[in-house]
Amino acid sequence: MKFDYIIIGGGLCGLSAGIRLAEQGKKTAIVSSGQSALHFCAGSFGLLGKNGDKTVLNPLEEIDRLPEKHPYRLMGKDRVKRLATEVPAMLQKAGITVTGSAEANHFTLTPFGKPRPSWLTLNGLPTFSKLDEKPFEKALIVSIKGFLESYPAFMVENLEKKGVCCRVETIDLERLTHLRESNFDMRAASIAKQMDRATIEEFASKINSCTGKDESVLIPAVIGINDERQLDRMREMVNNPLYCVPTIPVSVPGLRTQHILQHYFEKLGGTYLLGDRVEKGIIENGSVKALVTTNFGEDHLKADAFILASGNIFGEGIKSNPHDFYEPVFGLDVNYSSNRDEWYDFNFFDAQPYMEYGVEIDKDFHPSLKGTKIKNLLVAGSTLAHCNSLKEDSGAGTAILTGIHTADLAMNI
Amino acid sequence: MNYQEQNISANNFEECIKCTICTAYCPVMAVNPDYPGPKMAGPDGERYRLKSPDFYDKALKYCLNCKRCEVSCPSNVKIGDIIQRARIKYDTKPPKLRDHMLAETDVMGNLATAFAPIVNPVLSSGIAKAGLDIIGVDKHRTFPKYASHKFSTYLKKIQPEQEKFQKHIAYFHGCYVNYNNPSLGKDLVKILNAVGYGMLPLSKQKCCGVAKIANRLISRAKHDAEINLKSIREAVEQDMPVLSTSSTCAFTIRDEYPHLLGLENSDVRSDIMLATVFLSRKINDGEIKLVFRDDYKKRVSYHTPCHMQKLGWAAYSTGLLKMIPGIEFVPLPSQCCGIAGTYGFKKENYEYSQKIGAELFEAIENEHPDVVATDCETCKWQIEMSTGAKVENPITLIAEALDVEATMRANGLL
Repeated sequence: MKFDYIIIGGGLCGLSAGIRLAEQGKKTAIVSSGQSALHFCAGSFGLLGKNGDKTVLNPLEEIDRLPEKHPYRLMGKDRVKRLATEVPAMLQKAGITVTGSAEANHFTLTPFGKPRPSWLTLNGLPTFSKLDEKPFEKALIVSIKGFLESYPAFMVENLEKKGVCCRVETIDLERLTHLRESNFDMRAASIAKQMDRATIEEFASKINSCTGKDESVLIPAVIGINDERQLDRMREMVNNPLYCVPTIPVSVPGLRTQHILQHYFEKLGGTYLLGDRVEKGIIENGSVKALVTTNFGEDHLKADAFILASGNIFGEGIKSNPHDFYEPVFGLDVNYSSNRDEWYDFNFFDAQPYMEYGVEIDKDFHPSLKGTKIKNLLVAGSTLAHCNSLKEDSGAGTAILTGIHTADLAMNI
Repeated sequence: MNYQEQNISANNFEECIKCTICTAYCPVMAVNPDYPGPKMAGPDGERYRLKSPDFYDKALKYCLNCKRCEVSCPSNVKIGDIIQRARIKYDTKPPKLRDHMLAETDVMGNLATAFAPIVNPVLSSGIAKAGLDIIGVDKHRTFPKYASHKFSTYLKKIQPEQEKFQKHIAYFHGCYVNYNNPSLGKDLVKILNAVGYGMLPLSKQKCCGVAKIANRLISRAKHDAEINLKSIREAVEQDMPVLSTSSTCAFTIRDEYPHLLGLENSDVRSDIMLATVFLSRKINDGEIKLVFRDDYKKRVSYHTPCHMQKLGWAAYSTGLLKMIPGIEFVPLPSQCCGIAGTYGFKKENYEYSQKIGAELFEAIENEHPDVVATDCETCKWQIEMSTGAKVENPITLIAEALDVEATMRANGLL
């Protein structure tokens, strides 16, 4: 099968690249082996939240202080800025509302109620502009009876540190009675699937009957698994300001974002091949000729250019064995230490060197194979070396921006 | 030495990283709290079952084997296979009379087609439905109508003229085309002949076995599978690909034979494919051309059957439909319709089956297409029963829209 462009990897990065190409009318396919790390998204996208121990307030200004080979440095500050400005409109067209700007980070809450720097925050999550700002005067933290994945006690402790006056209420919803019979079902995604119109009304009215004056209401993010409208409807029904706080994965806002982006890509004419796996890339004369996948077998997938957005260790875009790190599809040159002792830091919470291992690229985002540049292949997102997305809180930003950037570069090959 | 590879079992349950993504995509878990979900039933449960078979949970019977857990798994764990293998290995309760009846599609089909004029009205009568309900077939279900003449008989009859073609394919018609809808097989003959291919029967064919596997009639399934593989090998030796018009038949022969029945098929696996895959590949390679009528106009949705999602071939079927100029194509989200073959016919599953499909039915009703295309016959029954929409195999729509004369001319046959 022949396409103009093929992207390996169907997460936030692959979809951003795919949407960019499909918007230009290019015949684009995305091959995604399983679902992506977007399912772990806590509801906000970081561009650059931390550099070392420092909380970043102005991510664009901070780019020049990143390591020289960091993907943002390779893109250049101006390019990052221009693309970052275009992202909210792209998401809006797909059906995803975000608040925030790359000019200055704002803050949102983690599942434990700690402030977290954010570039773009999804509809429904609380946002506040300054780190030391009190997000609310009074908060009613709503827990759902039997829910396994919310931690109101942590939330209270952390918010109280900020001087927020907190109260916890547990609400029982009729429709969840059946779900609670199981030991496994009281998780965010399962609950979210039960949220029909009547349950939303019941939830809203039970919240209204227990809220006090001036209290902001925080509920676990279990509303709006398919679209944002459900969240908007519920907000209209609740008398006090209502916010969702992220839960432990699988995340409902993450699921929603994945599906909306995939649907938008398909609506633009893109082909999303879920559950297929690229087993081998065929390279001839320094160019990728075709991909061999599990499902298409001898019908090789061909394209003019390819983008590798297959993720890192979690997405199996980068794999390891006791001796090496490697990129499994093409065997591209990977940056890692050959001394195994240097892979880890024994302090679990410190930056782990292996997190920065990934595919080495040139300034045009082309990788190399045994030192030879691959002309029609570009690499994007967490597959890239030299960024520690977890420590920098830059995972979503790198995914979206290098995704769009490589799509533009691919169109100019 | 690769330590990691040596630590992984054949069903790779150790590679589950406990991310729980599969649980968000399990259609059963969303409606039936008695089902522990793919992670618990699959890799987590496997760990316990290896310690003692006493840990086997009989609720695994609620798994409808849609494989959507496998499709969503970022770590490529064969979750669905782990669950089905556990059912086969540890569920020792003998299958019920009802299960035998639903699974013995060849026996039932041969009997029913012989007496179709009597069987059809009887099966749809209230008395028969009440009787079936007692043995556990849900009374809301209507059995598909049986044809009076089997497709296999027709195929034998046209064999001399089919042999005259220079190129041939072998057709695995399966039970549905043979006993219920021979016209789908005839539609494929029409398309193949127009592009210069003759259709030949396999020397012998039995039910693919999916219903027997689902109802744990494993030795019966194996017996049939061995007959099928033997005939498939004969066809492949004569350079004929083996085509199917049912995503489940194709999936079962390609993947369930080795994974669940332990039958080696790697020598012929890539020769077994859906007819839409064969046609698309030939078109893409420039070997054949299809020309469509100008006066054909239809608004068509495509429903991706679970096994089609697992095969990863929906792009072929939708690609062919989109080639038809008169078709306005309306995509649907890929989700389970709830029937899962014999699963939805069972009284204990009926309610869950309808709940699983509810979102899909709503999406179809909102799009109000003239026809829903799908590659699976049981999805067809479920969608027709639950939405009133007309459902056809893509091959039927292609045959309808085909300009036979112009196609023959384009392929140098006239």
